[in-house]
Amino acid sequence: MLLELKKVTVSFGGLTAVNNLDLQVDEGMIFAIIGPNGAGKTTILNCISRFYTPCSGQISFKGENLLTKKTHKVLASGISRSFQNVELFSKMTVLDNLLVGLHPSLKSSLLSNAFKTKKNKQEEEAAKEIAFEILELFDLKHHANEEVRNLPFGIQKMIDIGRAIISKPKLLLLDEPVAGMNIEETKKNAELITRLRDEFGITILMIEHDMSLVMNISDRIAVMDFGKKIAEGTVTEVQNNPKVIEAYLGEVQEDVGT
Amino acid sequence: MAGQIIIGGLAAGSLYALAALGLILIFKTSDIVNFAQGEMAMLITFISFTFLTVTKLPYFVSFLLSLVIAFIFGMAVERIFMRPVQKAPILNQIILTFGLYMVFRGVAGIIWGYTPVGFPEALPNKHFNYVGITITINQIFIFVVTTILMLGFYLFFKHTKIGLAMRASSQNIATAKLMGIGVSSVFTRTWGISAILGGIAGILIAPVTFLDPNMMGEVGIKAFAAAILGGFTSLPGAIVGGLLIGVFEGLIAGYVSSELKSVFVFALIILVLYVKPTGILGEKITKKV
Amino acid sequence: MKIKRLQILFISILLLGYPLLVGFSSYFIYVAGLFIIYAIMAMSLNLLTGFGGQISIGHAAFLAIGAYTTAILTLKLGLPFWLNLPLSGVITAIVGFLIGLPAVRLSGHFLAIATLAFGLAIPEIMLKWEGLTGGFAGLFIEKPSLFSSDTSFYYFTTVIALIITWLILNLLKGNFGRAFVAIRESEIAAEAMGVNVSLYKTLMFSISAFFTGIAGSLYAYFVGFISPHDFNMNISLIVLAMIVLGGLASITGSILGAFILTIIPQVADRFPGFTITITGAALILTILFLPNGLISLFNYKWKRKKTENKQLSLEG
Repeated sequence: MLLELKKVTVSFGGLTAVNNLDLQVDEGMIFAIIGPNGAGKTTILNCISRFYTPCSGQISFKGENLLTKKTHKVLASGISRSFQNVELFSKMTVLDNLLVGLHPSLKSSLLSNAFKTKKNKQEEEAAKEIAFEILELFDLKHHANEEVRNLPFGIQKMIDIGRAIISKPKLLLLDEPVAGMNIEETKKNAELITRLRDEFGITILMIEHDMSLVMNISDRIAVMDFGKKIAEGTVTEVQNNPKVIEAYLGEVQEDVGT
Repeated sequence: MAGQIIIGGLAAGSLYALAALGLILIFKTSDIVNFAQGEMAMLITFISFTFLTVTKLPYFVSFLLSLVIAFIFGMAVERIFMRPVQKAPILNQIILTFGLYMVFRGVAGIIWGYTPVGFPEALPNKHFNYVGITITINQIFIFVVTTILMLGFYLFFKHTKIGLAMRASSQNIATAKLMGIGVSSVFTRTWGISAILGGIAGILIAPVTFLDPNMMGEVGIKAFAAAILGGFTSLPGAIVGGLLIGVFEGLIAGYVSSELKSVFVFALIILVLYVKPTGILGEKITKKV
Repeated sequence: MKIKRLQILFISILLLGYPLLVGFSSYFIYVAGLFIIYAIMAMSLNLLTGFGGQISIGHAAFLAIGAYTTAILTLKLGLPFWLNLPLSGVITAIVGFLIGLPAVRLSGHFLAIATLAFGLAIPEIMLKWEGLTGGFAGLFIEKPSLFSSDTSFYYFTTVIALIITWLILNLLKGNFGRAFVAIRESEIAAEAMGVNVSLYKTLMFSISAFFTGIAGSLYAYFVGFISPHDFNMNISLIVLAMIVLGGLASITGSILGAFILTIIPQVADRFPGFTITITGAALILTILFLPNGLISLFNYKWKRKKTENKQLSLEG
């Protein structure tokens, strides 16, 4: 088991966003969390990437306690993430955005940077090579030196994912990876996500509202409602769970049908 | 001696509180800290001085007249300079208000020169003794003006339509807009009111500091200290903060060193920001991911 | 990158040939030396504010600490010049680190207020601490024997400035520079990408203070006299205006801004109030109409020309 949440509760003021949640994500799977807005999904990701600390419960990754880690140490331990509304560095180039994703693995010192030592140059070159590999994978090479803010949203979403995987994480947290994308782009991204699992061995925990994507690529699904997990299982199990249909799928069934 | 210091401190502190109130009003409604607030107050004090000496108007007439000008001036500054950067990065907004700070200070120097001049008190000098403490009639005047203004503000916010609109805008601009509140005109009026508050502070403190383009340098930073101590989002906080700063400064001047009183106030600002950025009465601002 | 290199090459040739051009006139060399010192300070501030997004309204205080460190080490301890220069940088960097610590928790307006308070406090403390600083009367410092003339110290200053420019450009290009800009753009994403935001913010303050401290040391030697008044709020604001007018997040912009705003006071100071009015107006107009500063005009034209040339060569 790669990631385990035990009895996690998060509350803000009097409001309980996540209530006594248990979750287990095995290595090599695409795990989706679905549920209506305000069900506490993003809060879970924010706890795993350590922006929030739950009031009670445990989170462990590869058997290690994650809650003792500081936010900026999470990436080095093998967990990376994308953001719902792409938190890219908008005035930086695509290449530089990706390179920031390699930050923890670039070890050359301040002085070695300032004096541009040979070691620093080699490290930079190597990092750029890795970045270009990612750009190749995403078919974004021609955008390498453009500022991110000048690119369309669909491409920004891909860069956001690219920046998250450049450090070769074990676990990738995706917060609505296809939100705001058209059908074509969604299809492309679905392919990409499965490739990340199959070729790079990255385990994926994602939140998504697009039911066709979720039902197509997920190995396992958890359904949340009002901070509680109301169901969990394979695609078919979840689809046939009366509780889920009542609480959630019922209202979007028309969507799924089309 | 302590009692005397406290009375003096409270009088000065009331004026810091007024200036701080102006800062907070703007910050609450439009999320801008107006670093030019003190210099705007200085200009208004000069205008009042011109009414007094050149046109020879009576004190209270020139006082009120310059407050009318303050209101218009504050609104004009918002319209002309702040409106265009309303959606710009915070850095640009800060830099813009510092640009205004420099221009106002420079223009005042060009027009009125840098020689400090005396400024008359509101009322003919008279003082009372009570258990060994001397209190001047002007200090009483300052207390009365501050108290009336504070009460006025309280009623204004609670019971008038504009007050309600200002409160709503300070809570949530988007929602306020949806509710049909003209947010821009609220911003403009807030700047006008804030300039009036600064102007009152300037005119009442000028007899102590003397009048010159640098007069509000120290007062301005003490208004910041008051606002920060009070949490920068709370109107009662500004008042408590202002009074505390006034007394604190008086005590330092009395018991430590009068030359170092400002340094202690600066240190206090840094300390409060470092230890408790939300001040005494401020609300906690949570970062949203 | 190429444009920047050419611009800097051009500037350095001009600076090195300048004393010949003005016939070693001491006034013109004085103004040029002042410009170079302010350029170092502007670049340091731009590293912090333009690139790193952390505003500092009290940067003249760092200049003051650098200058006074040099003066005090020379006069009280008799330390030699080659030791004073780096030490002034290091001591200022330590103060920068301490100021950077609270900055970690503050952002935007509140950082501006904190640094403003710092910038106001330092000159007042120096005024009061007469035993060490000479108070209002100030301190006199002689130039080091190796560069005892104005011209030779001017050349020394120029060389140091070029080295600092090179160092800052290198820093900005690498991992540290990227992390600084990343913090400016999104602290949340930077943190998620493993940047220790608190540490890097204090680091930015320290680096910026270090170079400003060096500028302060050069200032003390070059001008030969320092008093607390030389480092008041106006200087902080003028240096802020330099980077805004020249161009935030641009090294060549900092140099351009430093040039313009070193020249203007030389003329405008004769009329009280004019320098500050002109500088303030420049700040306001830049923010309103040219937020990327004057340098954006140059770079824009250059870029357009380049693409035009490309098209021409394609057609040809």
